[in-house]
Amino acid sequence: MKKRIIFFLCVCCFLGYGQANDKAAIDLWNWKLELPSGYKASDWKLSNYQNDRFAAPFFYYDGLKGALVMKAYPAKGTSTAKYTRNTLREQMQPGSNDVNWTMKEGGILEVELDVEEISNSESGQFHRTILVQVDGRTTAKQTKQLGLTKPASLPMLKIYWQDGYLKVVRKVLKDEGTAGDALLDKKSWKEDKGIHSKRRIGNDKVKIRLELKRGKILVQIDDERPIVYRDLSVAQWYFENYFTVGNYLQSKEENCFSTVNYYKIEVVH
Amino acid sequence: MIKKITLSFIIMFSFQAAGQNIDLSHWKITIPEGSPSNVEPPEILNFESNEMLAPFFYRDKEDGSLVFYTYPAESTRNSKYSRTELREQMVPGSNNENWTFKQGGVMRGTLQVQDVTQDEVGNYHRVIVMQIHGRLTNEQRDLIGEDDNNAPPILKIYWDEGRIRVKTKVLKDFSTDDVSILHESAWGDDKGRNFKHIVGYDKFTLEVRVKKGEMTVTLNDDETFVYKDESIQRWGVFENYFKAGNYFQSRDEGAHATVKYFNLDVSH
Repeated sequence: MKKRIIFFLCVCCFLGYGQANDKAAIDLWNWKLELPSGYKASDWKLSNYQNDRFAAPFFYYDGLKGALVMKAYPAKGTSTAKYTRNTLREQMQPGSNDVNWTMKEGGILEVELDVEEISNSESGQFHRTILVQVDGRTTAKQTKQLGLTKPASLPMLKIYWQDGYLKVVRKVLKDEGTAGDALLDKKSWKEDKGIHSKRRIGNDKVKIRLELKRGKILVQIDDERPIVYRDLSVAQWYFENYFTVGNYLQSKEENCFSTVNYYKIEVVH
Repeated sequence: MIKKITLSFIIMFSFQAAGQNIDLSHWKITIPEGSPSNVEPPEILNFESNEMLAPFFYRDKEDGSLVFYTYPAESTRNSKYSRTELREQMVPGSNNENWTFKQGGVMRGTLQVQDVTQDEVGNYHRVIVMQIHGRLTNEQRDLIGEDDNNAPPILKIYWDEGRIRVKTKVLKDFSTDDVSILHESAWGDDKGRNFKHIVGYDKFTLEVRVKKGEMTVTLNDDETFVYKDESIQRWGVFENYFKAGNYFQSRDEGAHATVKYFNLDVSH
């Protein structure tokens, strides 16, 4: 009898473990993955990532951690990224980069993550990685209006992990008097100095909430006082946007690496 | 129990019927071996006992489908890629009878991309599963001094990482005259469009309808792309034929793909 009970318990544990392993809590149907190798996957292909040996070295679900693990390190391949990219790009319409949202429509992104490890640069400082971005690009109408052959793109907001802190950087107008088509010119914009999280995050879990709506951006890091942007630079942002989440390691040095675990990625529009 | 058995017989029978419904009497098959080899009607009707075709073109005994397997090997004259692909023959055994958009035509198929390899970084190789190919008449060929009847494909339907992607041709310059338009160089590729519905490795239905100045492509009787711009209208100068199967867009070593057709019908 005792043996039977033990066997029964073992089966239960096994089944439970199996389920935990198979069931990634993060829905990836509206994301496109790009890995340091140049591997890309969205919708159907991305939904099979757990069986894809090409994704596994960089991107997998760890059932014990309950996290989507995103590893960045340089790899041979076809990537055209400037640095070592392991990112998820929001796709409102699965498989298409052409359907995005404007500030008028707005969006909310909530992530929970930790930076498990990251390498040092030659100068002895930590490398830095971009965790979250709000990317901007010209709408189809603007692209046509400007006579461009493909959309111009520029990131609106970036959140780095930098020396243990989160650093929020965003685009501001070089000249607040800019108007008309010049607002759609990359050259009219520059990065601001950036704002650091109060707390040193290090390798701890952290929650980030981004809320964008009609001339206002709110960045909430854990329960710190929110960072709010509400000025002309936000009001005059007429590009369309998409979220990017992941581990975009800002280095191509030979032995650089970083591992970021994601426990939650949720978008609402 | 008996009901279950009866039901599975009915299901088996209907699957069989599905694949066996494909009438090959107006199709020629090309395989990636030989120089490469073709089998036309009436020989194609006995494909099941043709040993040369067997590795590439055969019936799946379980679901009755026609299986198209291919890998990079021999290619036809105007291509670097290999294929196991059917080419329509309005007159069985002849490539010389084809159709214009004015005459029109409909091709409808139910198919499934079952297995496709990935490249060195993990991106799937692409497969063309249906085409409308243009063809110069002998007079047009001689008029522009070509040495064969090849003209561009006006329609290519790809399986691309689980999505169905449609590509057509656009006339580069609308002032091109009716003779210059016969040159392949007069035509460029459009940007391509993906259907919203993503098929992956599931079964799906494609319908291509052509009439004067218009071409439509429909996925799963639900989503339709319509082409009726000036390029399509000017395409009326060419003769065409339908193609269906597995035209594999890679020459990577070890690459291969399998496509299954459950139904394939053409009418004019």
